Amino acid sequence: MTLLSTRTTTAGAHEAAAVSERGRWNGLPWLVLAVAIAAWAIALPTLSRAGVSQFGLLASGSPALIVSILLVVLGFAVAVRHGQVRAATAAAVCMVIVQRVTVSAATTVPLYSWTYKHLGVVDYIGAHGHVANGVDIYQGWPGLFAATAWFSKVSGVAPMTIAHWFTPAMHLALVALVIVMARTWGARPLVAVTASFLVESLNWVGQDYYSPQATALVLAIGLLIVVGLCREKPVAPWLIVALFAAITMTHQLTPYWLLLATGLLAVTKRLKPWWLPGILAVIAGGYLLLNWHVASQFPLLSLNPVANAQSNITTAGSFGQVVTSRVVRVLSLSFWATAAISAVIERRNRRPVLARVILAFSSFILLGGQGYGGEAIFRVFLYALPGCALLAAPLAVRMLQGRIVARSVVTVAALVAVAASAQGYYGGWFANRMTPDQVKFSEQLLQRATYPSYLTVAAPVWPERPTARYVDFARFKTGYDYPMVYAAKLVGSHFDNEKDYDAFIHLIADRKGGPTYLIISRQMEIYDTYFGILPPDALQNLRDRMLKDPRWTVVFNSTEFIVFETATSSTEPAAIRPAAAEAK
Amino acid sequence: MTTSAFSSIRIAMFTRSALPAWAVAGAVCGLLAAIPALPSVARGVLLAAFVFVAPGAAILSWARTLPSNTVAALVPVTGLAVILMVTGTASLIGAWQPRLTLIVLAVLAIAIALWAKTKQAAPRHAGAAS
Repeated sequence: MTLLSTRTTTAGAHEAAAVSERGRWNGLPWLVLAVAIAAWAIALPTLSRAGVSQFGLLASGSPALIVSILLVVLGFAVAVRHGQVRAATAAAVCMVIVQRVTVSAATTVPLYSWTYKHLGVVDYIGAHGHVANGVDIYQGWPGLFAATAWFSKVSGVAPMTIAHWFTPAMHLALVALVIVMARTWGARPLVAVTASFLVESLNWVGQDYYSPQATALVLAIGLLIVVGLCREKPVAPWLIVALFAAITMTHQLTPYWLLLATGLLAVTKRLKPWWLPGILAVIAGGYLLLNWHVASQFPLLSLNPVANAQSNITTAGSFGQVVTSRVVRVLSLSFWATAAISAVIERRNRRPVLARVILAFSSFILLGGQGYGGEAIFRVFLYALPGCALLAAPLAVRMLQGRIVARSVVTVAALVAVAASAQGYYGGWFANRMTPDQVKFSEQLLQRATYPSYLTVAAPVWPERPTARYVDFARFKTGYDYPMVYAAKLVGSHFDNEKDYDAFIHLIADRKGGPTYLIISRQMEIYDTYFGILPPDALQNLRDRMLKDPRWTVVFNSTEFIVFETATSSTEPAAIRPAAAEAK
Repeated sequence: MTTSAFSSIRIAMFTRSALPAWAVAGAVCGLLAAIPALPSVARGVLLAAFVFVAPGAAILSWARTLPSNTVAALVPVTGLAVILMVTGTASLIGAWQPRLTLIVLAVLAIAIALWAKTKQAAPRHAGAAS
């Protein structure tokens, strides 16, 4: 099909030698994978009881979890060594099981507080039959939310269940789609499976929860399958347009990466018909204009790549968070460098690489124009992953099928890289884990709280906006639930002195239109300490002060969280709720 | 049954000419999912089968230039894209009739698939006549 599938004599000889061993070692990769799954099955029941650690689940959970992940890597390496495509594919599926099914099976509700914002939009569409136009950016890009509401309404399956099992389903789809994509981009079967394994095992970035970007990525890989077919002559280009339209309706950023990639491919004559990106630009631009009233509230163009590459976590986190962050930075840079080196080697071997280089590195151009609220750098890694895997996979296969030194080096490198990726993926586990009690209470609070009012968290993190009623509150005040430590600029405060507390109270006193409910949770202490947003004693100090302050009433108290409301008695100091009286 | 017979069946299942049959089967799953009396789990499985098979298979029945080895991957992706666009548009314009939408999509999938099947058969008849 392409030069990619052309092997050099040396590589062919090594591969032939490897394949000749196949008879003797046929069952070995399967045996290793079976042991990996057994180790995972031993680890899984214990993971939900793992104690909180700043180094995440791998550090405090059963060691059998990381053992199972590394065994899958070994099983994959053995499979590739012996040219066993099916066993290598099984290894990619096993990687989904041990790394991604864990996320659903070891929890009772979805990870990440921001997942619940998405469920609130689903609930609104399901309840009202239309979007709440202009309330927030999610309502303008309703693809995933509307589809979930529709699916839930017809089938009776709860959106929460769909969100909870979304991650493994999305990864299984990615494994299959990346294999097919690599094939249409010219890779032979074993290289295609290796590319898929790389994407699956090095995806530390955690953009796989129930979200528009995860859905858009699946569609984007589907679109790139067709782009791969269109490199020499047009093959069903209308399908690219259809998939692009669905992506455009689902996610804000992904269309622009695809626009960049397809535009560069067309300019370099690697995509036919050449005018296709023009149609895609009209779709993306037209949809942006449709939502201009919402999109224009965000900075659309920021021509500072350095600032755009900064993450949205600006505080210095705990030691565990700093270590994890450095590990994933080194991993990302190493993977990009490996892809670049592979591209040079491929080019020197007279194999075409330009199209794959465009796919791998086009997402970096996004940093030239968008910070995406501090998330751009994570999306750049995510979007670069398939292209980099396409570049790195041929080299990985050649080395795994090469001499003992080469295959030992690449096997050790793969073990280290996948362990690093798993650390990146699971490092924030305890910070991002939600509990059923929090979720249930958050839903109840939205339903039962006085309206209008402010449902405010003292600090991140809390299952935000989980039901349709968030729309009413957001119409009352857009930032009705904005964390107090951000609103009052109290990041890093200990709340062990009057100054911090007064600044906090002053902000609440200035609020107009309704009372304030304020939530402090054990989860916030874990999250804020992990990311360095607040010192470990801060929320306990704040809670103690509020308990002694007559301007606050405790409306709910449990071991997990406490909820205060601005006091309603006639003796309350006027300063704390001057506007509550107005509302009455 | 021999390995080669299994391979033939597998190849036949995923060729473009089999897509209309897949689309009709998926659409029937969708119509069954619209029966409220069925348990939620059953409706969920049937509806997932509809989403990931029927619209994609019906549409790709018309994609004659698409290689067969990509069809199995593109059918579910196309189906998902169709559902995202249809339900997304319905929510944007306020035309929200979930069960009716499902039935219309299922009937459309059957119609498109049967039309494609007729078109597939037409050149063969022409060839036979000549």
